[in-house]
Amino acid sequence: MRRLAAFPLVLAGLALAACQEEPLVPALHRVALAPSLITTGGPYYTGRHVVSFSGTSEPAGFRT
Amino acid sequence: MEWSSPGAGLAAVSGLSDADASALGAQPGIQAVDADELIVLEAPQILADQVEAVADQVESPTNPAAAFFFARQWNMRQIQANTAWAAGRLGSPNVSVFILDSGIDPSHRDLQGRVDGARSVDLLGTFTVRGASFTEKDTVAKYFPGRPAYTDLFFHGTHVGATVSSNALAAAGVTSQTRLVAVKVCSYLNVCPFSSILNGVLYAADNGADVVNMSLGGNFSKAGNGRFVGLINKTFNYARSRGVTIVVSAGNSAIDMDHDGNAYKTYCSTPATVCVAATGPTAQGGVNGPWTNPDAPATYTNFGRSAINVAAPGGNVDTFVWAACSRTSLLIPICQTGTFVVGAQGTSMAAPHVSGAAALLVEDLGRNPGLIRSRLQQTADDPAGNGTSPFYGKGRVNAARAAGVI
Repeated sequence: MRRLAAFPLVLAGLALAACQEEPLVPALHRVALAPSLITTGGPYYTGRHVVSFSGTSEPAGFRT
Repeated sequence: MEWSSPGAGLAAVSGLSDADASALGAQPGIQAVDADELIVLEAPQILADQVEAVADQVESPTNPAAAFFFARQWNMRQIQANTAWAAGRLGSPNVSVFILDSGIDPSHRDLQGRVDGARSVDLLGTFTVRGASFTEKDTVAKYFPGRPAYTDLFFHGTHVGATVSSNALAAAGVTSQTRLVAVKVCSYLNVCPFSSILNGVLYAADNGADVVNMSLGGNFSKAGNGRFVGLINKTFNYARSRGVTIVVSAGNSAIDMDHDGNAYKTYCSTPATVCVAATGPTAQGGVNGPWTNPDAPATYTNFGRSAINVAAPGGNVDTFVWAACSRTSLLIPICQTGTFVVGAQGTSMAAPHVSGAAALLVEDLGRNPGLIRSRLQQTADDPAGNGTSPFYGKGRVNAARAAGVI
């Protein structure tokens, strides 16, 4: 088996082996990882805002 | 409006321009309006290995040590989970551990019947990633039609959840009866909207969570993002007031949290959490051992006497924590083809060991986060032999001693 390098990666080698005492011939599977979109730089915004109320209830008219 | 929690005094909204946000922030009763950011999930290193011949292991939910891969689970033996099992401490379906993560695949044989589908949710919604709109549930529907939106397209949440509670056909969890609730706050793109994380904690607090596991990273500069600290504290204090024990991972950057005062490290800086560092063997003879120095601090773990409460196995150097691999993983497609386990390494893997032990303590102590954290610390093994240490906090957690069976 072969360890993967740290995430995120575009491609990573994923070594698979059978679990029996006599392992099958290990097959190296190339696994396409989801592209990491924010590995450096930022901040990257989601298009949302977090609103903090002064108290523990919604201010009147907040939803309008 | 994305969500609102009047009890916590927080809400999230979408579609505001900068001008709109400023105008809203000036309204009476509004303390602040902050732009939501993406947080990177600190994904660990992984290996994968195929499970075979698990069909005959049907007795293992009541005897987790019979799991097919138990021989390689040095981590479970290290925290003496097997001693707890032998004493009948398998967890309770009346205790719920909410996994705030990338979702959970409930179809994996180690997790069938363990996940509460009625309370499991996808809280990602639709968000923007570098200008593009993204909705993960659309990806679920495209690649895995008929599967629930909370299923795990990554691998992380399934691994973490199965470490807390597993049927132990392939690999054992700390418990085998605890109920899991998947709360998807991170996408398979390896990002987590900060607003979804906050919403996840609030959702857990309002929906019967006894324990919340947050194997999530994220470092914020206090100088630039001090506002986040207030939001986190507000959210976590609300959950704690509802009796929720929150277990968080310390992070994988080998940072000394005692001497980095300008950074807010993950969620360990929040008083209302149990912060977990990682340990693991420095060497192994083979995948089934023997292992050398299994309580060594992991080379990657964040540390600091002021931040770490306890340590737990997370893997180290060439040793890994093994648990279920999501059958809906787009990251590791081979896992779609059968019952697989995956070996992973990180403080993300350490935290669920503590969440599993905390689930046992909920049975004994009730929903009391302060008492549970104290018991976890008081019953931990002390590898450093000097009380509180930067790498172990009060020590490496011991599930059997915490549960009072030794």
